[in-house]
Amino acid sequence: LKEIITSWILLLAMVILFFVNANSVKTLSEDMYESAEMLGKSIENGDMKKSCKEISEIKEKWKKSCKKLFHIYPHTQLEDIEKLILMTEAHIKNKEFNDAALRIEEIKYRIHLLTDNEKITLDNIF
Amino acid sequence: LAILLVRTFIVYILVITSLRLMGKRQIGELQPSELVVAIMISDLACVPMSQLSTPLLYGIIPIFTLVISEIFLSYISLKSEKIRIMLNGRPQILMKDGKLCREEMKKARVNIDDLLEELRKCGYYSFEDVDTVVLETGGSISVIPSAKAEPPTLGDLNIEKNQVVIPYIYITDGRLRLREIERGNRNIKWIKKELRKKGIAGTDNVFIMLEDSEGNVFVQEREGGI
Repeated sequence: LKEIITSWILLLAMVILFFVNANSVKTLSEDMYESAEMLGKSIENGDMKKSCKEISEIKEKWKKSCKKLFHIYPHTQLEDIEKLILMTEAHIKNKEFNDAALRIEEIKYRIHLLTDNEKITLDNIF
Repeated sequence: LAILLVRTFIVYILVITSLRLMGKRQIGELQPSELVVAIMISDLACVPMSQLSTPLLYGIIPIFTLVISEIFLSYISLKSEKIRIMLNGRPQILMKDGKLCREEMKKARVNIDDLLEELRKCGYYSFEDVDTVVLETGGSISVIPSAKAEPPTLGDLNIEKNQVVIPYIYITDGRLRLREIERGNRNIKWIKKELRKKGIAGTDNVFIMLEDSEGNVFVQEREGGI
């Protein structure tokens, strides 16, 4: 009986962990996605000053988010996004707006993938 | 590298906890479902332990999921015979009334050499000495000897003997084991008296002291061993 009770407690703890994780990941990714979209618009408008400010904000946000996400996602997946953010920053500084816009789209796609892969769907299971 | 050390330690504790949770059966003879879980756990533990880019949770969650499934399944199989048979199979009778069951041997894919080998391990060298052979669900073989090969018991010979019980170990490595002393209905005063009888001054120098069911006391000093 002791083992059964422990199993129930473990199962409950895991379910709670899944929900808490899913919620926090969703909030974090939505926030990042929104920021990336705003940056995309600034790049489209060719607003260099605003783009520089927004990319540094994204960088800071990502640093904070990463600390939580590192427990959940393979580190390589997160490092790829970080690399893309750094590349976008470099493109903006070099006034390569087309490349920066391309990177932003890639960042948005990767962030979308993070939450998408967590959904319990047949595609994800198999 | 320090991370590897910490991670290995965490995974080690996790695997030990998992095996303890699954109970003692895991350590001895494994049923098919338990064997699967044991293999999977060992494999799952390796990945997060050695690959630093993989979160530790990728090992913890599957291991706990396997443990929980195993505990629930064993609980269900305890309650339902059907599930038990489905998970572990049935014991197969390979020999009955001294005759080999060829069909069952074929089903179990046990050839005559395997069977002879197993019988030899059990101490039987001829089929004539064996009445029944059962292939258990865990893969081990149980043998019931034929009546003529069965050694006589004390009951058969009408000899009376006191029931043998596990000896009480009162001292190990100079340390008194209070629970054992209580179990054997003895006290420290009695132990010291027994030691004095054997010319030993205190408990500190005793490597082992035990009492068997007949009341015989065995004492070995630390220095007295080989």
